[in-house]
Amino acid sequence: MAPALDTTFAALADPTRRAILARLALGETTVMDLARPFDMSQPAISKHLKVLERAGLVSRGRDAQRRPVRLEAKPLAEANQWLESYRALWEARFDRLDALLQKLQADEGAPLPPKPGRGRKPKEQT
Amino acid sequence: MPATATSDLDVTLPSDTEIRMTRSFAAPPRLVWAAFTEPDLMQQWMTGPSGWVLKVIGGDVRVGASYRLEWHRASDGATMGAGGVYLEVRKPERLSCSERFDDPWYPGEAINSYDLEARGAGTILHQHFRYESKAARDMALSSHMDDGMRESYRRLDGILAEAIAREAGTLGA
Repeated sequence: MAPALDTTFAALADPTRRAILARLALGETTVMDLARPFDMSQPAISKHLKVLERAGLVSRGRDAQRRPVRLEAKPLAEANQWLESYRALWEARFDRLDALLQKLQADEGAPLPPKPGRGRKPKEQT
Repeated sequence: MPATATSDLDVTLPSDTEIRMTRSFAAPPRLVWAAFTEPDLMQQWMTGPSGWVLKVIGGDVRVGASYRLEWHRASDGATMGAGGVYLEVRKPERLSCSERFDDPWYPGEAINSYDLEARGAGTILHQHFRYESKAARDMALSSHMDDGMRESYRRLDGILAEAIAREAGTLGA
């Protein structure tokens, strides 16, 4: 699983390639149509497509003339799962940090003198 | 990469060697700073997988000073340590430090930086990790998946052990 993900992340590291994938998420298209919104030559786009194809992120149709490009969802889903578990760990940490910050703020906001009628010692160590 | 709606934590990979995270907190930068730099506060939230307890050694937050984090697991006495040196200290807006694990599960050293941006009464945290290579970055990214998988396997081990014990009991009766 690791080498495949490696290739996926390498393919995703480039902004043009991410933009191509975003466009393909709307549906399959030809290289010519794909190149249109980018300020790039068709050969340059083809080069990016080769990288995406090697990573299994896109596939080309059999139709010899059009050879439509389409998005392959599986590697993307795997890469996403990888990132998701990393994100989940940090989210759990940050949720604990939220709770801690809330407590720190509550402690700060607490009135400095002890409440009247409560004979509490100023310091009570556990 | 699509963001999930369950949380406002944003994780991106701006290049082959980086991980960037952005998240907002409902407390001013000075409190977030304290939570990132004071050992007794760090211990309360920077914990690892369940069952591990974090111990922080340091607290002298100035450029060139070192810090050390140690995770201990009570069940089998396992320990895991990491440490580094503070590279940039601009309280309460920017903190940067190096990070290296004792038992390196990613090669080389990472440079971690934390930018705290005041936004209203709260803080936006920009957390940035840079690794020496893409391989190291990917190992750091995937390691947490391993944690999750290890946990699952451990649970599976427990279930299997129980099933085996039950079967042995039935046969013995």
